[in-house]
Amino acid sequence: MKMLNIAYYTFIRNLRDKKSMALMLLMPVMLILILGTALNSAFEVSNIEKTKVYYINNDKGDIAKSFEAVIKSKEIKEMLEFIKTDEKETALNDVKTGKAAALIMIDSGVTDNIYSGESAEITVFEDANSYYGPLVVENFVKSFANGINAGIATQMLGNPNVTYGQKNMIDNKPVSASGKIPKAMDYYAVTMLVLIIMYGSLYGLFGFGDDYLGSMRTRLLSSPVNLFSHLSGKLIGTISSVFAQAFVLILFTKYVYKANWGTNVFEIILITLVLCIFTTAIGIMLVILIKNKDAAGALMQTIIPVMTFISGGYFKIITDNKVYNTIKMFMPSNLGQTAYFNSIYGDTPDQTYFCLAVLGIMIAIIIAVSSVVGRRRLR
Amino acid sequence: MVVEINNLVKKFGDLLALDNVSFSIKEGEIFGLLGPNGAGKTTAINAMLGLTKSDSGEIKIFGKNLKEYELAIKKDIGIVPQDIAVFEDLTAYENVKFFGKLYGLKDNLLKERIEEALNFTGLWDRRKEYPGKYSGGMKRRLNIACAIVHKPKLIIMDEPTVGIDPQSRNHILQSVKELNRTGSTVIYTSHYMEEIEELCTNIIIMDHGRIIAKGTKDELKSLIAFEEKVRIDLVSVNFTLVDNIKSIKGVKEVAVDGNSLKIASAKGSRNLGQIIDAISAADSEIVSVNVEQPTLEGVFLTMTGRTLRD
Repeated sequence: MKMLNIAYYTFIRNLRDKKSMALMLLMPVMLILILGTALNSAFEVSNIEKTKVYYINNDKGDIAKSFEAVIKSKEIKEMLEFIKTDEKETALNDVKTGKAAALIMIDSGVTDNIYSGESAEITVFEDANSYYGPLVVENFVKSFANGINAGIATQMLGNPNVTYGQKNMIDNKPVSASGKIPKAMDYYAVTMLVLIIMYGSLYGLFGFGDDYLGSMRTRLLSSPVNLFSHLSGKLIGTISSVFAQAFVLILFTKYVYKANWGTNVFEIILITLVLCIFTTAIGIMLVILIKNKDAAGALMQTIIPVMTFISGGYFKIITDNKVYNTIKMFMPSNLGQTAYFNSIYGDTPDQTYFCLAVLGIMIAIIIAVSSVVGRRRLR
Repeated sequence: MVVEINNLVKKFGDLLALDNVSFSIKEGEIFGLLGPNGAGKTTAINAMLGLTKSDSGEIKIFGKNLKEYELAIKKDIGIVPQDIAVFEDLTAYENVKFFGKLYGLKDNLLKERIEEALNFTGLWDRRKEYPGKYSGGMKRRLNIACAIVHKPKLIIMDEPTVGIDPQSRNHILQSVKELNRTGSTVIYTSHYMEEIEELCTNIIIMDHGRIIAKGTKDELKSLIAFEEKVRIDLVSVNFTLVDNIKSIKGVKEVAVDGNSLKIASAKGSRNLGQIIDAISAADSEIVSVNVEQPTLEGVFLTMTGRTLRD
């Protein structure tokens, strides 16, 4: 009962905080409207012209046959237009002038050389002034060569019946399913929701800082309530207030902005709840560790926009940079966004639950650290 | 005994905040903790509330060991912290209700106690307002209302009158007396010796974490009552008069300050009549006579060489 009393009044106090309420509700409502309208064109899907590729196939063996089979597959034909030619100079000229992205040359005897253990090369001539087309061709040839190498290696291990089969050569995981692609408004409804939930950490941080590190500490901790009830009550009250505000934002964007929140209400609620728990817990942990709510608040207010930026919350960032992608992968904002997008658009619930599991582990670590350090700091 | 503290020691790094502190408090008294800032008063209180873990020593409250019965003991204690500890975003009523519930009050009893606490502090009519609209004195009174809603047997007031106007201070001092009259034992800390003198029956004086004196007001004052001082303002002073007064039995020193005489006599001299006779004989007219009494401030000054506000 005492724990619920603390939770209830924490909830009431948070909702009466008009400044925070403006930050938590008005700011995202405005940002979604502005970004969703201004950047709408960036989310429109245009038809991408197929990349034209010449090839000269002088080989007569299995490699040549495999190559011909692969380039006729549906997946490859969607992206690349292969033109067989014998006129190398003309083809090279077209590549140089940008009329084609590349010329692939398979020399005669490639198959024989491979089977006899000698080196064999497939040569690619690329348009040096273009980026996208040659990149696709390069990836295609690399995948093809890897497939060949794997097939040969397996044959040498005593399995003569292995043939090279083309699999997904291009890793393409767009945020779309069932023929639906998020519009700008849909995208920012999710990313701004995650952003304000992250700002919810300030409720945990300042709420806990004010009550248990400030002048209120003596009064609260001298009451006949154990530390667990104090902390749990504070946590429940803060989570409830952040969740309530997030829920209002979801309803607003759904019915006013017509944002797509999918059909799986349970998952959306679950993701929101997990994010609210995470953000409240990290706010409390930070203030316990730093012991100064103003310093902890300043740090949090710096981290949140950076985290949102890295996670593509303000605009989508697509890059092959491994460091960036690794950092992004474990950003709580990104985990939240990925969980939402997969729930709304994806057909892979595993990805949603994977993100929730990672967030769950983070929450467990945060609560463990907070409990250990908090026990010492509050006594 | 309501409180028994034996050989309490608390260190913060190299700082000895409580140095072997021992004292006891009887039921129904207003017990004063006097000392300058940093003397160890708040540390002693925090230790009694279980907020500061002592390095050694024993604390018994209501006859029970604090370490073993902390939550049970806390049910009967009300704390008025030094800093105002009320929620700015809850009304006065909600503030008192919140703390009433923390102490286990509910339903009609809770409502009755909230009304009593707010009436007692004179805030019932403004119960629906947020503390942000209150004056400093009213906030201090709300601070008290939150501490007494559960009718505690022991009320600890840690400098409850800091930074408020004389009217509110008077209101709070009267409240302390009233709470004590209705049965609560009160521990009152302050560095205003006038408040301690007015309220408290038993007093300890602390400095640098140590108890430097303890006893009743009179016992403490008698510690420094080595001499009696009287100041007599006259229309005019002449040296013959000064010499005559110096010759009176018991007079140790006569200092002239303009038309005033400051006369120090040995304790128990009972020579004021002779001094007045000497003045009359010298045809000098007396304007006023002030007999200086020893004060707790004087006790502190004598024992530490510093004033309470140094």
